[in-house]
Amino acid sequence: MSTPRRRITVVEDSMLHRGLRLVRAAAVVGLVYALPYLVEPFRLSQITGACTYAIVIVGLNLLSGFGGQVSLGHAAFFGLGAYTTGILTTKHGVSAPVSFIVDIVLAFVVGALVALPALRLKGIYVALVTLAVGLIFPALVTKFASLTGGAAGLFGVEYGAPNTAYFGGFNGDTLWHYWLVMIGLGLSCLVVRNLVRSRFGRGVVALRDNEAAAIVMGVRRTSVRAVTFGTSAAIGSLAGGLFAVTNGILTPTAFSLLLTLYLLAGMIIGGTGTFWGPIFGGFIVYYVPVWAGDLSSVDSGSNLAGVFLGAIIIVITFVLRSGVLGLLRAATGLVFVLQPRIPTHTTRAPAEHAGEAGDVARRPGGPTSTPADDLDVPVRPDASSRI
Amino acid sequence: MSKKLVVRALATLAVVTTTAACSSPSSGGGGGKSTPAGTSGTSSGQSAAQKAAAELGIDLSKCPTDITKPLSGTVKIGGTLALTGPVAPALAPLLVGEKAAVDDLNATSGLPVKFSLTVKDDQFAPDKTAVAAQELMQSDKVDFMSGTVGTANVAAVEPLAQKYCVPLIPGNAGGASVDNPKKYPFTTLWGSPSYVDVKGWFQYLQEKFPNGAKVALMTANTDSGLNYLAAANDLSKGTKFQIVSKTTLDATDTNAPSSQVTTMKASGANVLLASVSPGPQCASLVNEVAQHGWKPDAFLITNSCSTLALMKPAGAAAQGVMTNLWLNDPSSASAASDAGLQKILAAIKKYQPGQPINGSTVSGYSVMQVFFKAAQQAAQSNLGLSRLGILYAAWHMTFQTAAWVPGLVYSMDFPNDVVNLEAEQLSSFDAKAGQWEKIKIYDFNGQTTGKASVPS
Repeated sequence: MSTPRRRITVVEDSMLHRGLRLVRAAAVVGLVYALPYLVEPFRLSQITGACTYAIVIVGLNLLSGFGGQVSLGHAAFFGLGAYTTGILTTKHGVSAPVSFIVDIVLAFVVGALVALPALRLKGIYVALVTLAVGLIFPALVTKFASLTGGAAGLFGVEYGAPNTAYFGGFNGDTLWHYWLVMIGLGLSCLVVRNLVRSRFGRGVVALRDNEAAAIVMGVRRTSVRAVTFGTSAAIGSLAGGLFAVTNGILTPTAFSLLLTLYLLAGMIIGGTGTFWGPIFGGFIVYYVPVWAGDLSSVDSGSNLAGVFLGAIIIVITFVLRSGVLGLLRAATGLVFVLQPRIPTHTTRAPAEHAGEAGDVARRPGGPTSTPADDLDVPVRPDASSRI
Repeated sequence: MSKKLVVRALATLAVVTTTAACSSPSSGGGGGKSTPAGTSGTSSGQSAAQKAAAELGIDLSKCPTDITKPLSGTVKIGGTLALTGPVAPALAPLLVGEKAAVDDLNATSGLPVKFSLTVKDDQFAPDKTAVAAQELMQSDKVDFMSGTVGTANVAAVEPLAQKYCVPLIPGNAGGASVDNPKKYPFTTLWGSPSYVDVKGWFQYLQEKFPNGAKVALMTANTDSGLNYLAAANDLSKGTKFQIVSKTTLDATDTNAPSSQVTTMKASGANVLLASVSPGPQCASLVNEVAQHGWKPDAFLITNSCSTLALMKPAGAAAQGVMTNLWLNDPSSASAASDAGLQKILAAIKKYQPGQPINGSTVSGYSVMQVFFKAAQQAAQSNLGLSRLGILYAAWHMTFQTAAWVPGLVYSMDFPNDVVNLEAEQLSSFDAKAGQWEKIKIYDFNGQTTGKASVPS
């Protein structure tokens, strides 16, 4: 009895498809630019906080979502960046941008080193190795109090806004912090997106899906895993550096194991192994406790904030199994239907071929395609499954 | 690929151009419009306000709103507390006391305005405290902040209080680093500073051991513990008291501090000074010292452990352990006959019926009591009931609350005395009765400014 719903069919890579993607990109850029004019400064601070978490989750998503390795140590990498920036800027007079670069390099090295023992391990065992990192970090901060301020905290981390009219107002610092974090988030997303869509990224995904097959195909497990871990840690560390300059105060409790668990929950709820999911994840990690706190403030007597927080997470997990992004995709699917571009047999020179890696990744099977996509295998028009 | 690049480049260029062309959004949003102070009120009030502001080191022209304007209608007080997270069970009861106090004192204090309290969750994390405080100041447009707990958390609010000219009266912290009236005159504090607690210890030691003693010092690896360590290092300098052993304990440690007690005992110390985190560690340390058969000539423990509920589990082992009491514990034997404390308890029962009442609830009430007392004093002063008036009063006020042990007084006289509580009651634990027995009151009023606060 039901009539088929009328939907707009969009052919992949058609003008309409490209136009829609351009509209989406423009909407995001426009939103980022317009937000300071639309919301109150405290809300902008909250968004800045949420996007800082989003950056860590973008990094975590590279390792866990695309790479399939669960890390319980990402709060530590986040903290490593925060304290590196904090110590360098307050005690050694290093400028904040330089300290960000140090954060990235340092965390990449530490991350790659942590990856080494984790190389031969899978799943829960990798998690255990990283758990050690997550547990040691706050303890180290407390022990080396002369350097880190210990449990009392490290104060006065600053990165002053440039002396321009745009940042010159009463809330100039809030605005400056917002833009710093937005730029950080944009860069992190670009790095992960380009990495995952490259030959390297397909190696990462292949190792996740079938390690033996990936190695047979020529994926260098050691270097791929180490670089993935290092990059993931470096992104988390950059977020830490931004966290330090936007908050000004660092205490070891801010980088506890609990935060890692929140980040993992955010990644899953946002949408694992997706490009936009981590951003939703960051907002969820930040805002759910805020809402839960507000709810319990209504009636101070019954402090049910913890219960609210748990309930919200359970509801989201049950209702949105594929994450917030899955919901959005389903919603978009009610209006648009994407028809995959029909792959054709091509004969191209290897050099030209290398430059088209991005296009290959957008074939049916998308970013989760195996390195076999690199082969110019004739594909039947109806073949929408992976090779 | 190249087409995409061009599109991206164009989009970026467009954004940059628009950015340059548009005005700054930061000048418009929040914070209120910039009004030169003193445009309202009489000329004599104006000069009094300017004099008071100058004395406190406040530049009225930098305030986004006029803080000399008389308050009217309902005045908003904002607060931050840990309502979620691991510390919430310990700190959330403060809110019950604060809310009861606001309702009770609105009804009884005879002020021409009513105060309302909005508290936001900060999970005890300084970064969240800062964002919550910012939201309260910008969105809820609170006129005052009050009751933020923790030294690092108060440190997060201080610069915002300064920027928005929203006084924090009082912050609930014992660290000397945040009692900094020269830099942050908009922040006053409430409660016993760590430095004063340690000063009481050393006062007692000098009376009891005129020839000196060997001291073992145990501190928590926390913000508060570091304050105790710094104070003990400072106060032992140049005395006959030698700190022969320093040990630390993590706040999260659930095991008995066996190795620390072994180390301290082996050091030959005959005095034990301990500042552990309030909680099971208090009784755990006391028990451990007894089990090691160590009987120091004096065992003084932080006043954070003075709550009877924390000491009673140690049983007979706690006999003779000393502390510097300052909070009037509703579960103490003397509480029943303390009319002032009973009045507070009755108010909490009336306005927050069914809520559990403990020492934290009473201290929450007391935090607000300090605020209302300052408001009453301001209303009678020539500054009147304004933000500046109440802030000025809080810095120049002597006030006795029944929430503190009888004989202890809140007393500040800016800039010579900027430490609110400088007295405490040295007490010894009577294990049989399960109560603290008063030894004597130490009063250092006016002596700890620059030590329990940032030196000016």
